[in-house]
Amino acid sequence: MIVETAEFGYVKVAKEDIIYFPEGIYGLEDIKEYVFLQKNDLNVPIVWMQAVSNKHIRFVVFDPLFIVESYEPVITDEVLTKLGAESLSSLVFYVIAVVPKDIRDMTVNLKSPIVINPQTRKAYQVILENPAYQVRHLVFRDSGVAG
Amino acid sequence: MLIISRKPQESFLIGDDIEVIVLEAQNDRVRLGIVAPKEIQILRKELHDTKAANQEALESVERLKLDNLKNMALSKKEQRND
Repeated sequence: MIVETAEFGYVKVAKEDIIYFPEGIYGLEDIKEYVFLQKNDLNVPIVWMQAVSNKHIRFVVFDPLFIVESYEPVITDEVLTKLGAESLSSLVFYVIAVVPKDIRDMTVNLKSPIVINPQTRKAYQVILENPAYQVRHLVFRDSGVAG
Repeated sequence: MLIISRKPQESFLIGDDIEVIVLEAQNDRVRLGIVAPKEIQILRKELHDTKAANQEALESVERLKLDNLKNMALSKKEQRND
């Protein structure tokens, strides 16, 4: 199918590329389907999380391990069950970025990652218990979390 | 900040019609019961913050200059490889 995107124009995506968020994400509960798009010519892990139904709804997301190498999200059994996942190791994580005018102030939400089970193509935004992970983790400045 | 000590089953009031009851305190976790009028929204703070961050993330992408981001992301990567 064809998805209209803000960054890439019209993009052809396979049905299997659409990730289903049964509960949406916090504050955008009604948007259930996203695709994750990446420009191949970039040597950096910037990914766009683009809503299928509305080109204006998209986020810049990162592989959290790119931000904090030691990132170790603990996912509850309840979420694993909802994802249809048997273990943590099969899951894919992204963190949502706020990209202000001065990009040095960019933050990512390590506290509430997007967790995807690629097998079932289901995803949730989960809020982690770990108090070391912040909703607004400064990427380019030290914000006190050991990287 | 007002600090109050309470034992399990004790409570305190916020205004006339919000009651917060300590149900259980164990290890690093406290279970609270809250009695409040229906129109009072009760949200875990991190959920409220996540909603706000999502909204801000969405708005920030509108103003995004991709080239800047590319360069900064690269420099982050270079830092790490040092």
